[in-house]
Amino acid sequence: MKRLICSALALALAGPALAETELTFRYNDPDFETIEAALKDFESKHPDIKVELQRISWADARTQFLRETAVGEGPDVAHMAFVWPLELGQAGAVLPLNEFITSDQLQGYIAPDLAESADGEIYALPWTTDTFTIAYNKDLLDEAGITVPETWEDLQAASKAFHEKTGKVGFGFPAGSAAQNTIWFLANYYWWSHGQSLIVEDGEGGYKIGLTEEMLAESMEYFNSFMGDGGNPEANITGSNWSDPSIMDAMASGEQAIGFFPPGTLREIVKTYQERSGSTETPFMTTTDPAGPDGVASHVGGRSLVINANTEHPKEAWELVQYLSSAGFFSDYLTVQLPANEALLGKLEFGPEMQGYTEQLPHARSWGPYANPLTPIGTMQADAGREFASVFIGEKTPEQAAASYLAGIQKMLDD
Amino acid sequence: MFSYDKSQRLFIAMLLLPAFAVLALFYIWPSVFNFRVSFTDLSLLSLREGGDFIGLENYAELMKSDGFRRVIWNTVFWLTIVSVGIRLVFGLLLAILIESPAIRRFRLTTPLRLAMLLPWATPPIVAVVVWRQLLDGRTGFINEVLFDFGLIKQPIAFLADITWVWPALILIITWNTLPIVTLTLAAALQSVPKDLYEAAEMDGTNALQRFFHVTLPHLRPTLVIMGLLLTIWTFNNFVYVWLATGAGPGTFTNVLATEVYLQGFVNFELGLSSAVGMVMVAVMMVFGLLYFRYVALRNFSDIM
Repeated sequence: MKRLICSALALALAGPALAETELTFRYNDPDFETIEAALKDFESKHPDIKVELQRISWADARTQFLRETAVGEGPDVAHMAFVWPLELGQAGAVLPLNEFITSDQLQGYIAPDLAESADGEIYALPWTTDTFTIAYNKDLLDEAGITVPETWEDLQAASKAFHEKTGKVGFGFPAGSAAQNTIWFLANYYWWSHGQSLIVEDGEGGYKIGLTEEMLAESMEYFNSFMGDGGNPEANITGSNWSDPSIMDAMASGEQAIGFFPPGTLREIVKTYQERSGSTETPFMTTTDPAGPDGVASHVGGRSLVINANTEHPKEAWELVQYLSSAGFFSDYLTVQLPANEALLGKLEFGPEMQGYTEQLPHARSWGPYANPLTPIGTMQADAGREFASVFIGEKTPEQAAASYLAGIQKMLDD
Repeated sequence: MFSYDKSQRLFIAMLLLPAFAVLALFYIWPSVFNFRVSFTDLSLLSLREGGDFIGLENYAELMKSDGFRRVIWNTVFWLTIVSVGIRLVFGLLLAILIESPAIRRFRLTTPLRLAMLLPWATPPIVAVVVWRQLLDGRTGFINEVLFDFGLIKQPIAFLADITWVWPALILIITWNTLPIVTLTLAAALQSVPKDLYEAAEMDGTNALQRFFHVTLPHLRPTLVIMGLLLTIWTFNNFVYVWLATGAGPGTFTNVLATEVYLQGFVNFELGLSSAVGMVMVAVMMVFGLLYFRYVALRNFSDIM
């Protein structure tokens, strides 16, 4: 009995001693349980480290992290959008990782320019990658006798024709104005495929606007043409996120023919369709984004992992980052995301409905000059959402909205 | 009425001192800090270094902005005047209905009061989420009903259509907060002396005359206080607009409280955001003084 009590006491005392380091990891995507399971695996492999998982929405992730780090708080490791680390690094919020990874090693990842500053500080490890493509319901388009759109004009015509023939949604996209809005991506793809870009380098080490007011107004007019009779219901102004439930549901239930999604969202739509239909078949296909005079364009999207500048355990935090970026993690846990490590990415196999993403990725570009210290990309995205929406609701003409938007960007550059 | 000598007043002041210190720490100091930040270019990205003093630039930017004039209009007219006015009018009508002899005769007064508590007990976030579903432009119940009755041919995107978005927002606010107005006025109605109605009836007055000459004068103090409180609660409110529309579509329903958030935490301009906050403070001070004049001072005079 005495032995038993002594053993129990020893275990009780040893318990806390086993986990000498406590880390927090803040994750922003919905597949929380997957990460929880992976962290248990990490803890079993690193008995001296315990990880607390925190959750936050993408809409609040950046501002909350900045507020916390400014007062010496925040999670040890955090999940960030590709375009945030440089500004977070300049704000002193994230730890430079040069002690752990070299610039050469970083080149093996997607979009290293968004993780490494001009002065050589590495502020993040690119973690997962994606881009957006056009996804469509092949059965619906075939029944309506409509071919898969290849250009922006095709997309406009296909959406309108499908809506007129069936009364269903043609090209349905979230047209809302929340900070994390989808129209930002569509608009940029439109500008890039027409040979223009909102922010470009000025050749003197600075940045300038590379988009004319006419092109911006034209793009506003173009996307406005989809609203209502053009095939995108007015109600979609209430949604902003590419994972808007009503749009995902409309695709899964066959009420919408064409959408615009990253791979994770399309996988959810396919899964929902298969659960409802009880079939493993899927009518969904993907194709490259619409082409303009300058071809097809999209962005290299993705997520990075950063370490908080205030962490007391940088080495352990880096061990966690390494584990989360390992081949085993992507094959056993986060199977719905594509790794940003190019060596791992090359080993992945895509299903037929994901074919558009493999075709699109070579046309994807980094945000590059957008991630500069003068024009926070989150602000440009939020302002774009508001100005496009003001056109969609008839509050402003495309010309007024375009002038107002570019004046705001110019002010940021001047300040 | 009690009266106090100088030493007793000093004693009362000493007792109040700790509470005042707490107020100063948690209310006055942050307000002073906010006032100071409003004269700087502090950004969320420069929190560690702090912002530079830029004088009245933030205020000048607000004053010359067309968008800010729209924000003021939305806050004052739609969010405050219209929504407070509607709640006072409907609150009064419902209170009269609940306290009416007909409702009493059928013993419905208590069930109606309990039913009124349901919206009031619903947290605003739940109320907004439920109403967003009801008002949804594609699958919303309200659109289904309007279709079934043949009242519309196309669904209405209530929270996206500029014709409907403010009425829809006011509907949500009214549904959630009308009960407090109704129940307060119902309680006040009970205090109106019955013999006044009897006397008025004997004088040959009709129901409308009794309402204007007996009921309303007795309810006036309660209506004033309720109006002021509703104004203060509503003018500052962020939750309903942000959760229902996110200040959109575009910036169509942007109000001062959401502008503070947008400038501070979307555009990262904490200095400008603080300036918007100070404009809110300035407007609220007017209502605060009115409240002090009509409510607090009256109570305070009781112990002087």
